Amino acid sequence: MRARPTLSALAALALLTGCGSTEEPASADAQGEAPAGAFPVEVAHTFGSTTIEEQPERVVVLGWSAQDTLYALGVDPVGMPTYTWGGGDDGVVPWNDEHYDPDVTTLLDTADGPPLEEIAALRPDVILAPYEGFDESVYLDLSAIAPTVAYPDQPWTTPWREQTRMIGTALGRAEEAEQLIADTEQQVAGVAAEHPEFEGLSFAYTSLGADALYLYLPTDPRVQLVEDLGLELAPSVAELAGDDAESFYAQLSLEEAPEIESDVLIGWTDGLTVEEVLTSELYASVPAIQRNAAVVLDDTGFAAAASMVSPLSIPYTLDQLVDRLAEAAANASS
Amino acid sequence: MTRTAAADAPAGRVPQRTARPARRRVRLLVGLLGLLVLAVVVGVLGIAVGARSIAPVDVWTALVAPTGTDDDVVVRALRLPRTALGLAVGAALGLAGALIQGHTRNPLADPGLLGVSAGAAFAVCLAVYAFGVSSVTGSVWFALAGALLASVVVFLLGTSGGGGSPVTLALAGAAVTAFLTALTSGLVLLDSVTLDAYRFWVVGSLVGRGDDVLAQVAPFLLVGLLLALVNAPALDTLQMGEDVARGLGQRIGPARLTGVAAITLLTGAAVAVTGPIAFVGLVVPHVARAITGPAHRWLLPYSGLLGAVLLVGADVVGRVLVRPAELPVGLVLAVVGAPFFIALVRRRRLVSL
Amino acid sequence: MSAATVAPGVPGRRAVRVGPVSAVWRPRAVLVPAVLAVVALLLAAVDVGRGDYPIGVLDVLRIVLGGGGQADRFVVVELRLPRALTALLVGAALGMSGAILQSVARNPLASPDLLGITAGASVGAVALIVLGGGVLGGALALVGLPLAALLGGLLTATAMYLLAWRRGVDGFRLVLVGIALAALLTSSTSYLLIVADITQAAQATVWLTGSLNGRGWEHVVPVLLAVGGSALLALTGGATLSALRLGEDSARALGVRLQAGQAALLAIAVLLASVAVAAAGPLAFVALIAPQVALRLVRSAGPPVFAGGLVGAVLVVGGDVVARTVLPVELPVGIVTAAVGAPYLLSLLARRTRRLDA
Repeated sequence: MRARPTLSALAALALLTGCGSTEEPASADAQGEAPAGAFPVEVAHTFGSTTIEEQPERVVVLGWSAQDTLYALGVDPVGMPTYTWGGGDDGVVPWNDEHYDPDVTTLLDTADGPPLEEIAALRPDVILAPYEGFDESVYLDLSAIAPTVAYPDQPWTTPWREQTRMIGTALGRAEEAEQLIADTEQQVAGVAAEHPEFEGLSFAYTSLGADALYLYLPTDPRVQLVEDLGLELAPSVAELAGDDAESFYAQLSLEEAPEIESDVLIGWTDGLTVEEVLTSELYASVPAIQRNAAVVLDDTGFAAAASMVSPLSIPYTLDQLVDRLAEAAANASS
Repeated sequence: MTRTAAADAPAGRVPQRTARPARRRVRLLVGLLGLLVLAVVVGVLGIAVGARSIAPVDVWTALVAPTGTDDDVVVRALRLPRTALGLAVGAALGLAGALIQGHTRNPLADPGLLGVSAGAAFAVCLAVYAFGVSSVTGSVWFALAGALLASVVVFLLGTSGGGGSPVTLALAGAAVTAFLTALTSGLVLLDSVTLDAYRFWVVGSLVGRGDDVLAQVAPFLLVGLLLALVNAPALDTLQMGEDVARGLGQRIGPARLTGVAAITLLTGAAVAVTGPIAFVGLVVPHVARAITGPAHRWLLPYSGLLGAVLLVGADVVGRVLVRPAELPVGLVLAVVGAPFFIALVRRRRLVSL
Repeated sequence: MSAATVAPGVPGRRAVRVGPVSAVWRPRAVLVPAVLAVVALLLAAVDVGRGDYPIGVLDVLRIVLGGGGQADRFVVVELRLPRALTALLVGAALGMSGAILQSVARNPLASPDLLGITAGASVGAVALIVLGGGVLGGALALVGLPLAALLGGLLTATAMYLLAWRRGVDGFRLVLVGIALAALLTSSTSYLLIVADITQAAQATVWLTGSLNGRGWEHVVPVLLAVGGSALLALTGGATLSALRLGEDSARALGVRLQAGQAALLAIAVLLASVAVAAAGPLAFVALIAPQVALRLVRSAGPPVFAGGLVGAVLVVGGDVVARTVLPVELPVGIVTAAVGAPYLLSLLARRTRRLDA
């Protein structure tokens, strides 16, 4: 269905085993113990705060990309959700393929909400769901099965750094989690340094639909990642967004397509193929697409990686994006 | 509810102003011409108005002498096709609505009743889930096939004993709809990519359907239109109850079959392209009936034209309401149409079937 | 039970009198509900006895009687038992609601959908899921999902009744107003789904399909109260119901206070459906199909209220058993009830058509 990401996995490994880190990386002692005396720990979340009394051995994760942090810390979850969006045929996202072990990890089908009995049958020590959206009654049921860490504030919006910290704390690996964040940031900075041509280029991050356009705005983590590479969000985006400027994205009539002025454009197709976008008379009127300075993408695995930001998905995203972005940048300045 | 679909034949329901039928006919004819003019006006608005402000002069230039400017692209690649599509689909749904309400003699029937919308929806989801179709154009044939297949199944099941009462047909339609909707829910819950495609399809929109989509479904719409008009006299006879109709020499089976075929073709083609906007088919016949009375030779053309006006009108409203974004026509239709319909229901004594 | 709703004096039938109450003895009207009740209870037992968490049948029995270990007790008492009870009660509520509505409207296509309950509840629930943050979302989050759905449903039903009021409420006008409101609200729901994230859209879709996952005692109690109370009221209102079925003129001639009776029955139907939908999501097809199936099983004059409720209960509990133990993937119960119930209704339709032909 889609190419398996050996490159990104290598990048992730490189990230974990080096990148100037002075501390022993987490993956070196897989399933390693937390520093003595870390427990009990307390993690605050939207439904209050959860105390974890001792080092959890069996961890169930729910929601987006919590398993990424676990894998990066060298811990295999006993249960994690299948990804019906972005996952391969087995429901595992491509950047987890290198880590996922079907003998250790049970895939949880969450189409009907968290499967409570199935989770109970896994006899977890802790349930981590820092990027989820369940309500309090589900939280109480989960808590009856094992201490449960829910999302911090609003459903489905947790920033990746916070998610990483919450998981690190819950597993007694707070320091390693901080290091993981620092290493990830450093890797992004490294890519930016390799591509000085990105510096100061204006960009628009869009979803190109059959009946509408969406502009992603500065609060969206996808936009932030591109900004971290040295590019700047085009002023036309803020103008077009108008009243919506504070939210994650703004919807736009297709009639406004010619008004998206930017040096380069990144666009996910939505209900269209890349081919259809590139041959569409209308989308040809977008300046960046006209100049062939657009990265138009339709791989859902990659789309998922870009959306589910984590220490493992960021390397994967960079791996997929940077070369194409460099190509677009070349056309932008020509 | 004053009326079931059961056979309480409304034999006494002859238009009250039979004293001066000629004047009435003139009045209705003038009304029809007025509607035609209105459809043209709405069509012009559909080309001239949108999220992007384009001066009327530039719109005219774009139509007659395009030079490839941004304005030309917007008018020719966006507004023209969506307006044409809106007129065709609106007319089809209006007609289909009048037909299905006539045949089932149930004022609550909408063209989706024969399982058409559910069949199309399931087929669209199947196309995305199993065949990886991700574009609207690619799913049109699937949607059409699904719509036709579903309504054929409903018709066969609903009339399996021969004849088949409108109630049985409606129940069969509801059951098949529920069954297909369940399968659709299953697909979209198992695969978020399918859900993503489905949710944008189901809201109903005229935009981005491609220039060739209308050409693809036009033959189906035309045949459906033809069958609908042929069906009108028979439908008027059938209104007096099947026994009376039979006594008047009307052959019931063929008349029903013609009607169902017309409904299926019109609705199937419409829904395949725009997604389910069945509300048009439900509301429009009621409005039309308030003007024309129950005679189908008037009711059908009125419903068709009103449907076209309503759909394109709603689309234009959706373009200007939340600039620079747009609201999908399905939503506008409901937001504008529902209060209007409620006001109508409150003010007029609706002509029953 | 539903014999009480049959007009007395059917030729060739023996009348049964208990004090002031008299009814015609019709064996099917008693036997069918009895069989349905047994089937519903058996299915509920299977639903409690089986699941992803391995517990032996004997252990389940021991737990239900008060024994067992803590983890096993949690699974049975907090997860399976309330889930099965919610299924039973929600099914019963929807079936009864549908039977009442179809009798009042004298239209076999009538269901709580037509009263705007489903659409209103759906907007309430989906808005809560999708708008999570924000002012409106924050206010909704405070009341919680079932309550948001309940409020949505009740508000819509009330608005609908008021909008249809014009020197009294005409059934036909009520239904037309309901359709318009439902269209408005359904479109709003569709729109909320497209402005939502894909995860929220998926969560909302589960709710819209109707699900029993994670339903606890807090879901059981309201539906239990509604079903119990309504059952009593419907029992006493049975005569009105059967009179209404004959048509408004006949009902008036029989001396039934039409407007009041109709309004009371509508209110009961609205309450039943709202509470059920708030607990388990729409599952709307149950309300449509259960009365029709019951009607054909009991062979009564109109959709029978109690038998309809029992068919609804069988349908939902049976659906849950299938969803939890037979299907290879976890899918919401709403999918199963429709996928199983629809063909059954179709087969009933086909059989009846053939018989009429013969």
